[in-house]
Amino acid sequence: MDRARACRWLSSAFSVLLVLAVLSPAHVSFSDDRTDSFPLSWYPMFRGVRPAVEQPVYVIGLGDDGTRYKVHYRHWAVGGFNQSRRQLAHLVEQGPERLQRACEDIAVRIAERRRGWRTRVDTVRVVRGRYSRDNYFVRGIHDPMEERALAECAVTRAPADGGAG
Amino acid sequence: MSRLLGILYARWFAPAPPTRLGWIRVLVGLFVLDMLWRFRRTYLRVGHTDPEHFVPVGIVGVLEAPLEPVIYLAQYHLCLALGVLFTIGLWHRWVGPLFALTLLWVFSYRLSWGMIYRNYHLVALHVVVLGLTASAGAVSVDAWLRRRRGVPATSPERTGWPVRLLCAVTVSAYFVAGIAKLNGAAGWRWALGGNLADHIGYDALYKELIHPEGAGELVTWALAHPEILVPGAILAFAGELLAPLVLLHRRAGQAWAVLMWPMHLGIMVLMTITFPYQCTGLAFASFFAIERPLDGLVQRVRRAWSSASGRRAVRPTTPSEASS
Repeated sequence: MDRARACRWLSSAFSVLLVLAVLSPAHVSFSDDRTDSFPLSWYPMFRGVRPAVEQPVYVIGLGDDGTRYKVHYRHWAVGGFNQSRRQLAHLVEQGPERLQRACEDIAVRIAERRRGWRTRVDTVRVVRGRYSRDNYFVRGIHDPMEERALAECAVTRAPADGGAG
Repeated sequence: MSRLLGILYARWFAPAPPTRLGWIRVLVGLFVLDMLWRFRRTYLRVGHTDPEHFVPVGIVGVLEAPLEPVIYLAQYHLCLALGVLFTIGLWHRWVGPLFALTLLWVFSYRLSWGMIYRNYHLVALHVVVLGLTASAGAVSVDAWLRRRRGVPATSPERTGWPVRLLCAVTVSAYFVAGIAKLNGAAGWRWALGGNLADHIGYDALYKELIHPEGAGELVTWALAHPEILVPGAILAFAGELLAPLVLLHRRAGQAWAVLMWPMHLGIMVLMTITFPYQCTGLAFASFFAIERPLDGLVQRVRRAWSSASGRRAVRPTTPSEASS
């Protein structure tokens, strides 16, 4: 076999193998195995049907007058928004002790801030809410149908440095 | 059967200008460098994440525990350096495969913390193709060095099939996504738009609860008028399931790419989930003769440069120059 012919066979084999590899995760959507991977994915986010009432886990801050503050994802995770959402759900799966530790870590990060809304937060609470998407986006009702605290901790601040003299 | 295979074989190995594959390498390389550099803080900080969240994916699956952050830092910088060499096309025979492998590693490690972001897949697969083929046959330092040494240029027969492979990989990835929708609980109902609205709503609700910027007004409006999502849902579903057919004709591939591009723009606008590789059009570059405008641009720059040099060379001497 000459060199050009050998190169073509090699190129054909590489092409076929790569395309088959990219197509191969499709079989997962036919099976019970739900593991995903990279860079070969079966795109599992398209698998499910979303319920009308969602039960998201999120974090809120509470002021001493009862005001609610949204504690955004950068307080507990590095990376993007979706990764943070997954990590919070993972913490819930690991049990109340682990979640309590995470709650305390968030409280420490909030306590470190010296300006803005965080200075008014006295309590951090990890909660699971029940939200109707239609209520939220169509009817404009932004309060949860139900909200359950999964972990709670106080924000303890070090005394501010007093400028003596 | 053998005749059909013969036709397929001939079409697959039909020549294409080496500059087409070369420009794709340059553009994809620049895109990856931008991606690595712009999000460097995330890449560098992700190694410090709580090890409890470590769920290795892809080739990082060989690890049982996270690496020391300093090791990942070194790998990240190696990847960045190889990315520069890949983009300029220097020592491609060695740099190409090494960059593909390093990038797969860096991306896989980045995605091993609970969430596999879908905007990394296609660009990583394309780098594998570009890294393992003769993509530095033109528009590269290697090609320039070969010209200087008098070595023959890369044959167009070696640069046609990698372009077709890039197209095949692209449509295969979309097809797999279509199959996932079809086999999911919603099945064909994906085309009715309701399931799409539900997924957008789920994402938007979470954004309202944990994202500093919330979901945005446009998504709220779209969820209140879900009928506007139906054309997008049909287009996306059909575009995914029929994707492999577009390989049969060049024009079909181009039409498909032009139709899929707005789908990603829609996702970006509505869900604020950006697929930069798709939105910039780079994911679909292999479907087009991108070398024509780019080669033309290079020619114009060269002509302008040489005419400017020529003007400088024949500039008449001024009286002060003459007297000095």
